[in-house]
Amino acid sequence: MIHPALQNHLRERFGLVCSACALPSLLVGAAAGWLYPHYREREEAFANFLPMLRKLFGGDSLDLFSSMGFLSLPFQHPLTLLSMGLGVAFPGLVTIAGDRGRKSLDLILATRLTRGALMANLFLFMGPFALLLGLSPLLGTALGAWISDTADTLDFSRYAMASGNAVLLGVWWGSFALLVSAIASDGTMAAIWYGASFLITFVIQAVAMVWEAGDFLFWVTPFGYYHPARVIGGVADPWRDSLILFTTSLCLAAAAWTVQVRRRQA
Amino acid sequence: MTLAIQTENLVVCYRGHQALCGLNLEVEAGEVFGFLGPNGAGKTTAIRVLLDLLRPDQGTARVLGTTVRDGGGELRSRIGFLPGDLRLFPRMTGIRALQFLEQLQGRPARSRQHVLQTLGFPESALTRKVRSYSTGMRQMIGIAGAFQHDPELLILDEPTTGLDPLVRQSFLELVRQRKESGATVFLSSHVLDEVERCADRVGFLSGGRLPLVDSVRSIRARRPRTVLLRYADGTEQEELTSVPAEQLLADIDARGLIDVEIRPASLDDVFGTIVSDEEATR
Repeated sequence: MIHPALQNHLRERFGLVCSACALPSLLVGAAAGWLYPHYREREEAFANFLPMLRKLFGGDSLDLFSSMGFLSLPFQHPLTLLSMGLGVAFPGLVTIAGDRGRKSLDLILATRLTRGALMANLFLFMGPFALLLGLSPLLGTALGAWISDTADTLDFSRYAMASGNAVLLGVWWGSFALLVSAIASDGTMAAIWYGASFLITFVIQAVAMVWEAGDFLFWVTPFGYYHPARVIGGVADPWRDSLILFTTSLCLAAAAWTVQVRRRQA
Repeated sequence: MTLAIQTENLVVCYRGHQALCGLNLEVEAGEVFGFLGPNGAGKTTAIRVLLDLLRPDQGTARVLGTTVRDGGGELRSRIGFLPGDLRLFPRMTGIRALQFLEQLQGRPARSRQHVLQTLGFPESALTRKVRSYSTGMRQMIGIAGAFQHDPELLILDEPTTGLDPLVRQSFLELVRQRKESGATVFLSSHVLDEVERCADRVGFLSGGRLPLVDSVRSIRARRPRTVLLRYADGTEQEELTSVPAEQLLADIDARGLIDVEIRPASLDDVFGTIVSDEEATR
């Protein structure tokens, strides 16, 4: 099923961009490490600062004034989530819908390569990048801990569990991107649908976190199955959420494969 | 008679508009078939159906003895395809693009060197990125990609777009060579004179239908040749059939005939007639 030439082509085409999406996590981690000592000094000022924002960053499960809490920022910062969503989705959106719109997909699919094989290879290609992007917050936290010299105060096993959960969140968004790409007529439409879905679910999740009556919204978006603050705070284990993300990812990938294989126009 | 391409009652609709209206087409193995038609006639749609890039609303398509849907990738590896709107990967070098196509085709590119040499593609340019190529150079890479693995069937959609006259000659030479080696060539074009020079048979597609399929020779024979008389006073006379014979002889005598040119009917003439007839019947 793995097509080495296609995998190589995808690596050449997207490897750099997808890898670069890991950078925001590292930068946020480094910034958190640099800020942490200053932040500790102004603990009182920050204690009164926007309770809603503290809640958004999991202040009810995690002590945000502790090194463990503050250095969890790479797992929760919107920039890192956005770059993860972009990094895993980019190859799928460009190679299927984008190339369909540009008509270069015809050249690829007029060969021995089948529609199904193309989809399967994209899904497999996405895996290592989901892993890299899911692990990047862990690397960011490690970088922050090194800069702030707080590594001995951190329980990295909790961060690793949250990272595993992040990997599966990445796989979910990658599979969703494949489905959108299989349905859309061109890259622009696919990007609009994917971007809108990502932003809307992100906002729904934010509302669910700060609005107590909106608890039910927690479970309708993929972000509802990614709770780094709870996992890092030791309040929850990620296994159930990870299993749900993994199962639904496989369903989305299977749906994307079916749509692409049965499509009237390749 | 072995058929390389056979379609039965192909119907393709786009948003209520019928791009193909019951297309029945038969292309014999080993022939060069010119697939002609004006823009929007449905040529590219028919080609996409033959490669399973587009699935028809009705009808079946068989290529190299297999239905297109059943043949899958194995069937397509026996076909060389040049799309009408060629979009290569701009960041790849020319040689990398050809190698990538070879790997996707799953057959060794034994003829790559020969095709590039015949087309006169500069070897030093192969290591340059595709985005730096001229339109003609990109088209040459596309042609090499279609020919390089010695396919049994070549499906070429507007292959000479962007090529200069010398490269066009070389391309026609390549088509002749492929035919001699037993391959079938399905050549879609609206440049009639090229098709006239290399095709055994042509089919005219108009409005999603194929009103005429015949050999180039028979089609030419359907239209009478025209005769042009040139006189010493610099005038010319082409319309002879409506002039009484006595008057014609008197004109020749009075004006001094210096040249007689007999022009064979071109496919352009036939094409024009078919298209206008088709439009009149709609």
